[in-house]
Amino acid sequence: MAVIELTQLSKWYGEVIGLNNVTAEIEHGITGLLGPNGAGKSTLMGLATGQLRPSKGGIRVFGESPWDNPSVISRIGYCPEGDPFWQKLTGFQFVVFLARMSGLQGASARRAAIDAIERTGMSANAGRAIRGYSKGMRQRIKIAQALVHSPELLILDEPFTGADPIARHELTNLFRELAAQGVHILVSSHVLHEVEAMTREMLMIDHGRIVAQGDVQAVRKSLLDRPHVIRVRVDQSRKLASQLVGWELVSGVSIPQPDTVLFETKSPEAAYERLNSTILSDGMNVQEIAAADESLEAVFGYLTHRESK
Amino acid sequence: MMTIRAMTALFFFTISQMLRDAKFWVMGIVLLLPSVLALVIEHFAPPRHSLEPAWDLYHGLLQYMFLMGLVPLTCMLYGTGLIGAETESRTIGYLITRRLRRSTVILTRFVATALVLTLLCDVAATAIHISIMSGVNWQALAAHLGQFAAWSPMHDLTVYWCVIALGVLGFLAIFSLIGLLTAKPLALSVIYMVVFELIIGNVPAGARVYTLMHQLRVTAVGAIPGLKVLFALPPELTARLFSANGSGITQVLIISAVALTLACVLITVRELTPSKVARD
Repeated sequence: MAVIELTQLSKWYGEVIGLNNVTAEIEHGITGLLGPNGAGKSTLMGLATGQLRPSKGGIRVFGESPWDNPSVISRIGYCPEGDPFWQKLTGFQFVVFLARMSGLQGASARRAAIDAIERTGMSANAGRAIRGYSKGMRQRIKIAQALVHSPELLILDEPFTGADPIARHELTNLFRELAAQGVHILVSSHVLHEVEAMTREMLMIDHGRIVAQGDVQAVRKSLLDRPHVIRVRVDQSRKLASQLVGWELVSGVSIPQPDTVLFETKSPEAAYERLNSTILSDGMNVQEIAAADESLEAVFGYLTHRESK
Repeated sequence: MMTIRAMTALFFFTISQMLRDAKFWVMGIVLLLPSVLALVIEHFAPPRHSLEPAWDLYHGLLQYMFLMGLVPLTCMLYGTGLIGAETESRTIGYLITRRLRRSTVILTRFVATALVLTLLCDVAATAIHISIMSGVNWQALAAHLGQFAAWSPMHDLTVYWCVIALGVLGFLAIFSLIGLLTAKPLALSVIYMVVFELIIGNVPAGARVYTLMHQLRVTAVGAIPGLKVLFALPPELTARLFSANGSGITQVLIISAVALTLACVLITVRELTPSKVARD
């Protein structure tokens, strides 16, 4: 049985279509949910966690409808997108409360919280109020609350947003480790490379429709000829740009803003790898590494166009 | 068992959330204003030869300023945000993707909020009692008690504690329902309060029996001897509106149960999305 089954699933908000007649099965292990902003990823996750109701068609998680169904949703760990927090709580209080909301009792809730916080590398900051957290810390503590009740299925909405390269690496390893322990993971991203580092199974959506599904290598092959634009926000932008110019795999470099470098490559995977080691060895202070949206939109535009053909 | 643990966690979390919020302390200060007013009046009042001014001030403040004004206002501010505040901050997602059904989430938050507000309002009512009673010299007035000889302020305070609890239950239920009905619940709540409770609840028409305001008044009048005099109505109207030993407890409980049931149905069928949301 598939972990999540979508049957002619549609969701619309007034005249805006969130998902359009989607039929798919999400199997065991890690599945990447990939799509540009506004593609319908969060809508699909909202439906899978019982927060949204299908306008048409159906969704089943572990064989049952998740809407107002605690027997299903208590088996899910959900990490939402954005910044939904009770800001005055400390990270520890936040995770303990949600452990208790999952039915864990006093001491075992605290133990589970300590364990989840440790796994996400937040032990040193767990006693601080969430309002003082950086974006990366917020992501980690949201992941900790999703793990705290040892769910069978993790639904992670853009978990890498705001995370630095080291955090991305650590979180990727954590998700792989959890998957090896038998946890099913549905993780959304608008960056192909991020998801690719974790899994080969992918569901790509755009404008509420599935544009590609299955093995990432097969999808990637069709994208080989398309250049990817990567954006790096860094304190030493000129130094980084001058290094990038010398790389064979980089076909163009620009500095649109004093703290931002954009570069174009047809081998994003290798570029990300080399970029990370360059940044670490040169001690640069990086605020963000991301696929520039325009490029990603172009990728999905390309896929959508190919689909329609 | 796990559901009960989750309910307990949510119950105490709701209480701690209220106590951490500046709104609670601001409301506490606002609720103490009638007692400050009573202190000021008592301080500047000329020497009294009767209990009547104290009786008027006591019941006037508790009936008109407190039960008809501050208690509904407090319930409005908390009831409309019972689920709405969590929805707007998108933290509702954490509460409804755990162990509890949606209806259990709202009921647990309702009980916790009602308990805290009842205690807060009862403390404020007690402050009014203390403010007025501290200015009454019972010994000096012993020979002039007249029709107030049987007045027992402590009995009346006990009645008000119960009526306030009943009022919090009813108003909080109504405003919790309104909070789920619309994205702008405060506007609808003010309209409800003015049109239904303050106008219909105070005109001698049949529809007033459906208002909480009327039922709370009936309950207070039924339990506090001589209170009907406060409303200065013609005798035939007084007899029609306030039957002997009447009580509005059952009606308030029915209104609360209906409002809460509707709120549970609404939260079970409705999506909880913030009023301004980016759809991805």
